[in-house]
Amino acid sequence: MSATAHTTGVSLDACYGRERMTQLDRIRNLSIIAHIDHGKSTLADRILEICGAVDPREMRAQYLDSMDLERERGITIKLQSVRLDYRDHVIHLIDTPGHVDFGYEVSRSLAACEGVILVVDASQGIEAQTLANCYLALENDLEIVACLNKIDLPAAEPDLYAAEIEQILGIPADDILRISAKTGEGVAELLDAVVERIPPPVGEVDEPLQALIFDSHFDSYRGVISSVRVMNGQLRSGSKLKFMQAGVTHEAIEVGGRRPENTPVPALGPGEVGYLIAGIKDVGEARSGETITEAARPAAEPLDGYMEPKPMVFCGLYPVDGDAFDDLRDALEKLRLNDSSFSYEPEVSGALGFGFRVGYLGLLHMEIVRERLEREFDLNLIATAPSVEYRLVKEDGSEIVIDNPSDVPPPSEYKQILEPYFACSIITPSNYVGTLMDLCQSRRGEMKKMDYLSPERVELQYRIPLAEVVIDFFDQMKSRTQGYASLDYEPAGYDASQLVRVDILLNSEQVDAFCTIVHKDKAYDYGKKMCEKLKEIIPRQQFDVPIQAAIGGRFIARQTVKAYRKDVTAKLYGGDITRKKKLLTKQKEGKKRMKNIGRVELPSDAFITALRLDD
Amino acid sequence: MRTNVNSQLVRHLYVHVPFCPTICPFCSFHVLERRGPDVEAYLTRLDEELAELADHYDVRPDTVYVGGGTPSHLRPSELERLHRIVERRVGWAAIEATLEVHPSTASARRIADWSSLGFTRLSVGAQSFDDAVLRTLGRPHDGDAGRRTVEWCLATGAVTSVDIMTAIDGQDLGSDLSLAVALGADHVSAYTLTIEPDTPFEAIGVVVPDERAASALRTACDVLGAAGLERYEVSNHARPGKRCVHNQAYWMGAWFAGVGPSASSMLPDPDVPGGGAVRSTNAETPGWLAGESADCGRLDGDDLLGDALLCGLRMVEGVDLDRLAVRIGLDARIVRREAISQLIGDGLVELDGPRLRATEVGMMVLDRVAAELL
Repeated sequence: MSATAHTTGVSLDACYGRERMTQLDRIRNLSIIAHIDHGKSTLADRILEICGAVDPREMRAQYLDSMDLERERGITIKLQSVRLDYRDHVIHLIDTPGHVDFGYEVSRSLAACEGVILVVDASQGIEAQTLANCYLALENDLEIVACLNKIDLPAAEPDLYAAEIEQILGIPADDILRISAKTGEGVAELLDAVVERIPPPVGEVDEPLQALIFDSHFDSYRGVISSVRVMNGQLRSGSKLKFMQAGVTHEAIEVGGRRPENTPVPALGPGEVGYLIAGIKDVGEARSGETITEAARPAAEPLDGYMEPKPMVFCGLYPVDGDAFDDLRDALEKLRLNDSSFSYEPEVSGALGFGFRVGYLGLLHMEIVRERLEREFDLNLIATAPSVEYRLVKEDGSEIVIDNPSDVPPPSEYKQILEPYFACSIITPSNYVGTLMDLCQSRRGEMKKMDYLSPERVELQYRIPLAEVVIDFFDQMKSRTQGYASLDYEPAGYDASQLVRVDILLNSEQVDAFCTIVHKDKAYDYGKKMCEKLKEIIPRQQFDVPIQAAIGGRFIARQTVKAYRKDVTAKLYGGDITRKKKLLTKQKEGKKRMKNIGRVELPSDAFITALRLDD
Repeated sequence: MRTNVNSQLVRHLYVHVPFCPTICPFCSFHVLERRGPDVEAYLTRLDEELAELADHYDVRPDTVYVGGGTPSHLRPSELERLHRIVERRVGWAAIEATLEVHPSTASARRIADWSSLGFTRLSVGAQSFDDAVLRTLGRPHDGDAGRRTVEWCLATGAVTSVDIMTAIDGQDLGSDLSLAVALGADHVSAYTLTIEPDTPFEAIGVVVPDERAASALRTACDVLGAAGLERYEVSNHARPGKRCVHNQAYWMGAWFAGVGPSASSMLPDPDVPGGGAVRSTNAETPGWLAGESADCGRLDGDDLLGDALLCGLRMVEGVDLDRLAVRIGLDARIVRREAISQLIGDGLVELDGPRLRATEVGMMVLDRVAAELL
C-alpha cells in the first residue's frame, strides 16, 4: 500500500521492476549535515511536506526522529532514510546524527550519498563538528549544497556567516542559499539546487549485485530490517543473497522504499536506497558496513568497508536484580544490531556481581545505550564510573591494556601508565576564549593552535587526556559559553601520566565499581568532592554510612550519611489505610531500583549522578 | 424490612462532617466552608446512607466517632439532628461517643449541651497553646481559647483528649504538653507536623527536619509518660482506662462503617461468607450528595494480613499473631517469615510469645518496617 499522496514526480509503479527501476540520472542521494539546533529536523519536516511524503494531517514535528529518546533529547541517534519525489526526480534523504559521539554513524550515511546539504544557523555560524563532517564529506568527494537557515530570526546575519563559510570551506558565498525551514522560505529553491548540483549516482544494472547495509535494526515481528544502498546490479525480492563479510546466505523476503512508511517493490536498482527484510534473527549477520551480493552471481569483491568504530569510553553495566544477567546479555545482543558502535564483554564485580564492561563512542553515547537498554528491554541497570583504556608498561617493557580502573595493580607492579589523548577543536565566539583556555588548562590540556576564523570567531586546538574530556567537559564548555562554543575531537595517541587509583569505600568496604584513575595532583580534590557528592546522593539508611576515599590504603577524605531518625506516619486511622498502603508499596517499588552494596542501598545511577554534579 | 443482612456485627461507626470555619494550611482533608443549604442536604443524604447501611449490615455501634472537618462547627440543632438520625437508624454508641471539638466553635454552654446529647468523649483540636505557633499553623483561635475549651470539656465529666501538633519551628513542645497535662487532659494525641501534598504548607516549601521530628516523638513520650499518660500508639497517650476505644478498633482490624463524604469503611465481603473484606471510600461531597457509590476494593487474606501488621504494629502492644492467624487464616510467621526475621535481626521488631511488636527504634521508623511486611 502506498501510504502517501504524490503531488509531483513519477509514479512508484512506473519506476520499479527490471526495466522500470529509476533511471540513475533521476536519483539524488543526500544527507543533511547540521549542528544540533541548527534546524535539521525542521528542514527535513519541510522537505517531506513539499515532496508530499507526509499528509499534513499526519505530520508530527520531527518526523524522522522516531525514537522517543531522540525527540526528548532533540537529537538524532539512529539513521532514518526516506524516498521522496521531487520534480521528476527521486531524492533519498538519509538522516545523520548531530552529536560528536556519533561521527561513525555520520560516516556510514555519507557512504550512501553523492552529496550533502550543509545547514548553518544564520544567527550562529558554522560549528566545530559540522565543520568536521564537512571535511569528511569533502574527503568522500561529495557535493556540498550549503544553506543558511533561520533567516527569519532578527539576529540572523546571513552575509557575515556566508563569508565565513566561503573562507573556511571555499564555497562561494553567492552559492549559499538562504532559507527558513520554519516558514518554508527558500526550501523549494534548496531542493532545486540539490537536483541541479548534486550528481546522480553511478552504477551498472547488469553487473553482479553490490549493496551496502548502512543501518540495521531489529523488529520483533519481522526480524532484522536493514537500510541498504544498491551500488551495482539489482536487489530483488525473493532472490538468494550472500552477505559477503558475515559469510552467510539469506533470502530477500521483502525489499522496498521508505516513503516514509515501508513500501515493498519487486527490486531496487543501482543508486537506489531502501530497506531489506531477509528473515535474519542472528544479530551479528547484518552489521552496518556489510556488502550484500547475489548468491547465484556474486560480486568479485565486497565494497569498501567502513572504518570500524572504536570505543573510547568504558563503564560496567550491571543488572540491579542479579537474576537479570541473561536478560541484559540478550538486550545487549539485540541493541548491538541497531548500534554496532558499542562493544561489550562479561565482567565480574565484587560489589555488583555479574555484568558487562561496555565500550562507547563517548559520554552521551554511554547514557543513550543505558537508557535504551532500560526503556526498550525493561531492565534496571547500575552503571559504574566511566573510564578510558589505559596502557600499563611493566618493568620488563611488556604492556597490558586496562579499561577497568579496579584492574590497575599496585604501583610497585608497573613502571608507567599511559593514557589516551584527544585532539580537540573548539570553535567559539572570541570573547569566550579566556574561559575556555581556563577550562582546557584545568583539564590538563596543551594548546596546539589558535586561529581566528573571522574577527569574532576563533578555533582553539588542544591536546587533552581523554579521561578529562569524557567527564563533563562538553557540558562545561557549553555552560561557560552560553552554548555558543562547539567541539569536535579525534584520537591523538597515548602518553605517560602521573596517574593514581582512587578507591571509594562505603561502610568501610571497598567498592570496586567506584574505583577511578585520576591524575596525582587532582586525586585529593577528586576524593573529597566524590565523598561530598555521594553523601548527597546516598539516601539515609538504618545506620550511619561512612563514605571514604583512599589512595593506596591511605584515606584522603571522609563523609557520613547519617542514619534516618524518624520515618513513621503521624496519623493512621480508618480512612488513611488504603492511601498509606499504596504509598508504602510505591516506596517499596522505588527500593527495588536500588542496588545493595554490602548493607548499603544505592540508587542505580549514583555514580553517573555524582560525576555529572562535578564542579 | 431488612433483607440479605450480613450476619457479622459491625460495632464501630464513623460519621464524617465536611464543614470547617476556615481551611488550615497543613490540612489535606476534603472540607468545605459551610453554607446553610449544604448542611441541610448533608443531613438528608446522611440519613439515606445510614438507612442503606442498616439494610445490608447488622450495625450496632459500641463506638461512634463524629469527626471532620469540624463537626463542632454545626449548629446545636443540626448536631442534634445528626444524633437523632444515627440513633434512629442504627442506635447510639453503647460504650464511647466521640466528638471532635474546635476551640473556635466552643463555649461552656455548647460543650455542656454536646455532653448531654450523649457524647462521652471530647477531642479538642488545640494543636498548641502558644499564640505564635497557632499563627504559624494558621489557626483562627489563640492559646487561651484552647485552654478554656479543655477546661470546659473536663467540667462535663467527658473523657477529654487534646491534640497537640509537634515539630513546629519555634515551638516549645515541652510546655505545650505539660500544659495539656496540667489542665487535666485524660488523653493526648501528639501528631508530628506532616507536610502533605497539595497543601499550602507544601506549596510554600515548609520542611520538617528529620531530627526535629524524631526529637519531638521522644519528648512526647518522656513528658507525657512522666505525667502518667502512657503511650499506647505512635502518636497517642492516655491515662489508664482512658484510651480511645474507637481508634483501637481500627488498629486491631475490627469491622467499621464510615458514613458521610469521603468516609471509609471496612466491612465483611457480602459475596464471601465467612471471610474476605471490602474496603470502601465514599465520594467527595458533591458526588456523595448526588448518591454516587463508594470506591470499593476487595481484600484477600494477604491484603488483610498486610493491613493488620501495618495498623497493629502502631500499637505499643503490637499484634497477637496467633489471634490474627485465627481471624484471617494466615500465619504471619510463615507467610512473612523472611521479612520478620530480617526485621528482628535489624532490631526493629521483636517477638514476645505470639506477639509481634515494634521495638523503640522500630517505632520511630515504622513506615519502613511496615513496607517490608506488606
